[in-house]
Amino acid sequence: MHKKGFQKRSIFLALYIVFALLPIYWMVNMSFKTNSEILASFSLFPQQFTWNNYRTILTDPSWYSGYINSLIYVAINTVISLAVALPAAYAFSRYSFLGDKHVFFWLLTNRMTPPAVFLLPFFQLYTTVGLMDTHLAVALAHLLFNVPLAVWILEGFMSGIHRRLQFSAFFRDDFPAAGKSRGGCGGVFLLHVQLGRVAAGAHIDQRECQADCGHHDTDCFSFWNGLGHTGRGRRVNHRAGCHRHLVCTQLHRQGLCDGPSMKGAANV
Amino acid sequence: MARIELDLAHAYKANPLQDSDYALLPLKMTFEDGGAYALLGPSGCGKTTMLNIMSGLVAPSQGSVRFDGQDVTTATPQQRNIAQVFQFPVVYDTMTVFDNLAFPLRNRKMSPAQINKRVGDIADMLELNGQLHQRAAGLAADAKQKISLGRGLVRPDVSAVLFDEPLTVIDPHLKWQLRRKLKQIHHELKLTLIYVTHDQIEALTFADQVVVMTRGRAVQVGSAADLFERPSHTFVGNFIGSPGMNFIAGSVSGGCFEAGGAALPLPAARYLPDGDIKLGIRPEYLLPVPAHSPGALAMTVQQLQDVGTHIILSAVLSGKTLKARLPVAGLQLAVGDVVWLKVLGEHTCFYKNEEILP
Amino acid sequence: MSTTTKPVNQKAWFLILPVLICVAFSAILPLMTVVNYSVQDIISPERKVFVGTEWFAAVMRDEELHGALLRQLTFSMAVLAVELPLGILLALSMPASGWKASATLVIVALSLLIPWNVVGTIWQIFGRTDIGLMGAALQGLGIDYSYTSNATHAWATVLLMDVWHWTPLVALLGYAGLRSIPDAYYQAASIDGASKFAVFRYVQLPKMRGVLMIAVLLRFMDSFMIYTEPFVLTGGGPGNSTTFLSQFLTQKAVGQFDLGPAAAFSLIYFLIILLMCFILYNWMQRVGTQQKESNHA
Repeated sequence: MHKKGFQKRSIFLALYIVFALLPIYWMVNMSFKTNSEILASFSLFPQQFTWNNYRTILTDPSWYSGYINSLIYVAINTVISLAVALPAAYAFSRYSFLGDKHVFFWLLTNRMTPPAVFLLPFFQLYTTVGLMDTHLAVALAHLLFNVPLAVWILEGFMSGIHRRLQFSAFFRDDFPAAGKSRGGCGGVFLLHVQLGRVAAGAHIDQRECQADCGHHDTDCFSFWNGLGHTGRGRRVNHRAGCHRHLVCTQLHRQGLCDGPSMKGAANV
Repeated sequence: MARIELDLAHAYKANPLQDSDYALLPLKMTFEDGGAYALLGPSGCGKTTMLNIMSGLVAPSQGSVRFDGQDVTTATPQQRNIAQVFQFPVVYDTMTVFDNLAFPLRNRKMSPAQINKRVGDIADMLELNGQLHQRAAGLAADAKQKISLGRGLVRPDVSAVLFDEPLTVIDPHLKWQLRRKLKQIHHELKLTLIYVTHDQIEALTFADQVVVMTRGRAVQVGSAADLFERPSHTFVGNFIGSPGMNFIAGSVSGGCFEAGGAALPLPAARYLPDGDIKLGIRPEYLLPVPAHSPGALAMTVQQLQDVGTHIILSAVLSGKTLKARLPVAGLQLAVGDVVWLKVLGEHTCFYKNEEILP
Repeated sequence: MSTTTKPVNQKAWFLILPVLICVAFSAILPLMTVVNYSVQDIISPERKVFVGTEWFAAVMRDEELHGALLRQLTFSMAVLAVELPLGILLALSMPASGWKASATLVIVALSLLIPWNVVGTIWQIFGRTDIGLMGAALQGLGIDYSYTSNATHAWATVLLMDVWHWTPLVALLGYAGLRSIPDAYYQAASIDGASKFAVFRYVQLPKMRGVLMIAVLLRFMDSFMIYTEPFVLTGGGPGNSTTFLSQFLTQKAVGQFDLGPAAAFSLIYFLIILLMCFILYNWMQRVGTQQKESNHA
């Protein structure tokens, strides 16, 4: 990289960071000034530094009741969102069923609705149901936007975990290896495996296994590259980190696949 | 076309203390102008590192790289004028095949007439003529690899072409076509070609000279025949050949090789020091002979596998399994039989501390 | 959604039932209410007259609506025109790895984490000539700056606020796209002797296409539905120069209680967004599969 180009970029970055932080800095600056100082003089630093403002917002009931309200309805919303989104995300990522693509798209469109459109009906609906002025009402209203987003993100994540890894972990409890190979997603993976125990009907198709074995090198490389590693300068056997290879190896060891044995299967 | 001389080592840490700190242990190697070489070894042995050092993408932590006598250790790949073909096809998706091939030439400000001619010649050689005006993005993997290769060859003064496992993503039935094409190019253009692979068949069929590497070390450099007949290291013996060389651990004393409870007298011409030693013999040369023949040992048949063109016989000697490659016809053996296999012969090699004894 | 083969299992419908119930409660019921209102004239709670498409026709002819729509479209176009190139430039400038990368990501993404009404408040104060840094600085430069009385200044301030708030989203998406480009492409381009601009044009931009499409989709949709930030900053003024569609609708629905026309307009608004979302989503899918094919072929 030429030095000139490098400098131009870092100047631009520095300028943008100044732009990004300036309004925030100004607010922080003002938060340490008293009201009279703000109105009377104009300065980049507080002349009379004071903690009074922070004291007020943390002790004055009219301020902190706001935090408590927010915490309550956010907690309710998160719990409900995750509870309904997880099974749905699992269903979308693992199975295909009648109308699945259309339902998925319809869910996404709810994220795209202008909130203003629902202002009036929500008002009427919650009044009728008697939930007006409650935390539950706010939590339920926000489900409209959070649940589709949660399903979207979780579905993407679950699709990334190869389903035979899930099944193989069910057999051999290889959580640590699988978790490590996905770079530390072990915790969520655990949850995923629990779901795997609940969802019945996964079986290994030997032809798929053989096809996978033949192609694993390609996918391994693109998968590994997708994480930004090209294997250059790294002495780790990249196959050890590739989850597909892990799956294939385990299946071969269990004698569940009589496909062509893979190069380097013994290395792992 | 260039002659490449390497005299270097490459380590990850600033002060390497032991062998495992090195990606490439100190080595000296010369690649002659116009030769076809293969760097062969298992994953992680340092062959790609060596290739990248040669191409200029990585600078060695110590030592130098010379092209035709000139020190290019700090030169960029562009300055060294090399071409590199990567493991997966690298094409410019938004351009047509023609534009892809013309790209390096356009960057050097060649005249359009010259570019046309040059691209046409290379496209002819690679059989890409019919697709010159198609978008590169929609083609199959082997066509894309040909484009990658073409971009390297299109420059008239390219010094060497370096390949980093280029046939990995190609379907098996197209691999041999591309391999043949590479040999053809080598024959016609007489370029220095260096090919990295972990597949011994690719290496042995493509290259005149193969460099076998393991764990950062270049273990042996030689032709396919050399590597097969006289592997200088037990690793090479094991790695080359399918199945690999058999090793019998034993000892030498009083002019005899002792193993498996038997003592075989060694021929007078063969001098071997006393002490522990390993005998190496390839399955192709391990043949059944009548009982108690000179130079033969008794073993128990463990398994017979009929692979179609030949039979792989697995026999056990003192707890270790040896494999022999036998022709299909005329075999009357069953599992559990005792068979006498000739281990001492002109193709036998002896190893001490994994290195071959002359 | 992933395109690898999955087993067909209709029982999966049970797994998505909870989601459907939730979203039905928060989306379908209200929507039906809106449809209900849009075809009736509610003179009083007891007297409701069915008027068919009359409200829709009235709404389409409404001059004020045309004005708001025009302002909204101009705003969305301006937002895209500024945020996309700026975001890409930012993504290109951010370091690729190491602690500097993490630090830069955090600092750049700060503005995304701020609640939207707080963003409006920050800029409202920041732009004031008496106590705000920007207002005072502009005043000091000799510009008679006032976002409360000058429509152009108000527009500029709202635009600047949106750029400040949302460019990091484009930058982060672009950054993710850039990091997924394998080194070999840069190495090959270097070996081919490509200039930095050629590398950007032929290697980086094509590979970033997928994420940039997502950025366009998200930014266009969100800017089309923008409400809190301009409302807090300018309240829609001066006059109605910064009143965009969402605020216009809210004024009609809650301010004036013109339920019929408000409901009719809600539906039209919703349909416009759906249409654009559908077009962009399909375009994205097509680009996505093209990229997947070219990666695996």
